[in-house]
Amino acid sequence: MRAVSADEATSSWDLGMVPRPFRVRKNRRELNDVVTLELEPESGEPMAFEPGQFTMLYLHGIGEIPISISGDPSHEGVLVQTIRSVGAVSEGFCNLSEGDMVGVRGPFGRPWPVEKTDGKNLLIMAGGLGLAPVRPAVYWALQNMDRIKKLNILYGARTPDDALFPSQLLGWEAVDDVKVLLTVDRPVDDWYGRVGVVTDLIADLDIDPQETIAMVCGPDVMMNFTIQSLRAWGLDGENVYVSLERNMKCAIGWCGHCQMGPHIICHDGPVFSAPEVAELMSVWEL
Amino acid sequence: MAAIKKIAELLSAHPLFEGFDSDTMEFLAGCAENKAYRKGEYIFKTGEPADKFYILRSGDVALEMQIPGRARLTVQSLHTDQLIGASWMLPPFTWRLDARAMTNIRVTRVDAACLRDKCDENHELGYTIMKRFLPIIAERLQATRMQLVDLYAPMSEVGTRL
Repeated sequence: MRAVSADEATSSWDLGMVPRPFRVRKNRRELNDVVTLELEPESGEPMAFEPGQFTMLYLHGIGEIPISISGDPSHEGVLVQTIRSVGAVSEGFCNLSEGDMVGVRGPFGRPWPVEKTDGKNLLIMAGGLGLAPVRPAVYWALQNMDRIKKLNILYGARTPDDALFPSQLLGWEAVDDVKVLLTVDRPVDDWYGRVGVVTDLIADLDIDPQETIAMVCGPDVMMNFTIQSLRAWGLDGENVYVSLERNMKCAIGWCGHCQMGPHIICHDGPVFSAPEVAELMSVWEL
Repeated sequence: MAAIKKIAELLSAHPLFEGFDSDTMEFLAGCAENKAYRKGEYIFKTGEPADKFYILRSGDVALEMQIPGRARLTVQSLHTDQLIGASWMLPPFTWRLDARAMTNIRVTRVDAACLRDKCDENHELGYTIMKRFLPIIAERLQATRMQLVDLYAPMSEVGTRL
């Protein structure tokens, strides 16, 4: 379960424990309590990453938090991270201005298995802020449409105003072989779209479940419900992947803060196949 | 007769009635008719007798609640091929929600009072109908629970701060 043995790494640098200085290039407000930061390294190589990986973002003097990378993996020069203000550290990040400095460790974790989508349909299912960690996989798919059959994106938001990246959702929908469906839990007066949970949208898929890889991200309850619904639809659990969010601290599998059953989320995940974690996700406070 | 045959074909193609024998399908088709509603038109309203159900053949429908002093609230939307209405199965056989066409829609409307009587006479048919409708009702109940949980609420509203 441990990520790095003493033989494998000999210094804090090798272990990934030392933050690199990054400068805020842009802070874009997505929702009332959500921003997307564009960060660039103050010096040295850009940070390459794979879709689904995360970083540890350090705000000097305040603290460090794990945040999924939400940007395009082919744009190595800029690190894009979408953050919701839920506590002192995340609120501090949301209030950063252009030119401010932060520390970044990573990237860490097992990525989305995009290579498994070769010749298959890719189904992305996201709820709420869960669209951010799967967005790199969407970017990857859009740049590799010759490798996959169809890209389907099913997204559930609380209200129409809470939908993340709305203009991008519209743009993706216009691409050949891409289907985007949005549903909301709570509509507003002028909403003529869908109302209901994200799993309701599965009925509208016109793809073969036997030829599909699903990547699911959202609150645990939503992911659990989605796994069950996808199985009922005919998708083998082995082809369903979820991204878990837990209280990562060291991010290299040493401290155990993010342990869930036999898994150290920061190292063994955050992306898991459904059979690996589905039962554990139902255990109270695990 | 030709119209009944066409409706029987339409209903047979729907998963709800898949595998029904030809006599049952003929009976169901005899109790059914195709209808169209314009965008904004109500299909039924809360409190009215629930003596029909509908298979939505095309378009979108909103299930709404009227709350005094507040704008009408859409609790769920229904789309092509979905069932509209299950209140015909249980007393007091009145609609609990409003159903309003969000777009121009086409439906196959089935006389549920007629089917109810038939199910009372023929329990085997009644059991089969129950088995087909209950999973839809259960799925919608589960979805309603998920909406109640308000999964995507900001932490500030949930009351937990990390």
